[in-house]
Amino acid sequence: MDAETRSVEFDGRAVTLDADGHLVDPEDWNEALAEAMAHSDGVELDALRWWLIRFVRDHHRRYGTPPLMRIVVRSMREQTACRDASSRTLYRLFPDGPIREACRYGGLPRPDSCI
Amino acid sequence: MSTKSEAAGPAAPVLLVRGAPGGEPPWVRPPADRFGTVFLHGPGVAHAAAPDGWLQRVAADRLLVCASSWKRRYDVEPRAPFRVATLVALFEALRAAPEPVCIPVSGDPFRGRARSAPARSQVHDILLEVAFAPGTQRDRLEAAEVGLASAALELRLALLFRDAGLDQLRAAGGPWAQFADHGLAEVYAVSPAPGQQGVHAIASSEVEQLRAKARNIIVL
Repeated sequence: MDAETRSVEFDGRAVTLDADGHLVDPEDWNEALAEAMAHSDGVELDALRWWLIRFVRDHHRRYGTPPLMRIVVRSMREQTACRDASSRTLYRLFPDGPIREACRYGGLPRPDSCI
Repeated sequence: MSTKSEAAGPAAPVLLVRGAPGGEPPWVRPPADRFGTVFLHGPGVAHAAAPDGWLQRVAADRLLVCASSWKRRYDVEPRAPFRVATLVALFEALRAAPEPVCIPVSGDPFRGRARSAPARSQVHDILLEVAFAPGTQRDRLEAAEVGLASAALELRLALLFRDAGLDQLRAAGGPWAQFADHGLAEVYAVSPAPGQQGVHAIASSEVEQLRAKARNIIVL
């Protein structure tokens, strides 16, 4: 392990996080681990946050990139009860950056694009 | 390095460089060409690391290096006068000085239409032409990021896959598929094109019509 990673104990095994708190090995991810990561941050993963995490994971699996905010907003309006979703809605879910935080809790690498 | 901010007017064109160093394009011979913004992206950021390449002699107001492309390749900041910027800076520059000069990843440099013949009815803010074969996953992703940045800015975008770029569409999924799937762009491919949902096949004779409808043509 290099200086920029840290190891946390989860479910009896060591899980390695990078300096930004993203899983080094995406294969380590499961929903219970996401819940534990959020709990340690004082965040409750409610239904809407889970929708966002799963949406970002699915988009990343299909296209190899995190989704644009405009895609998420439109899909949230279509797929959830949040018919008036906006980027503000997403920032209320994860004030530190909705897509980036959804990636982190979703076991995806930190987005490295400047978009 | 001749960075002549006082010499270039506000409408000086943008030079987008995506091709890696490896020879001076014959038509870029300072001081005949002056640019407002030079933006290095993808493999082209290597020009900022090359100490004595031709780009060092180009006159420009700003020499910008895509922050993501640079960070993926280098651990240090680029040397002055190059400085990092996001793709938003590219599109802001194009707003002031449309019709960029492009040095693509492969193939000939592209100068766009003659400035004396502006588009008659502009339907697209940006026409992105993808003419290079898919290389590494990183190359493919970075090229798509140019489109994603313009889509994030809600610019009216069209993608055109042609020549070797048609191979980019042959693989299922991948970053390009989201443009049609999510309505981020009108997507065209020159026939014979691989069949993919949401991609409009056009004849090579129709390419100029598509170009005529674009405010900016960017050849990747």
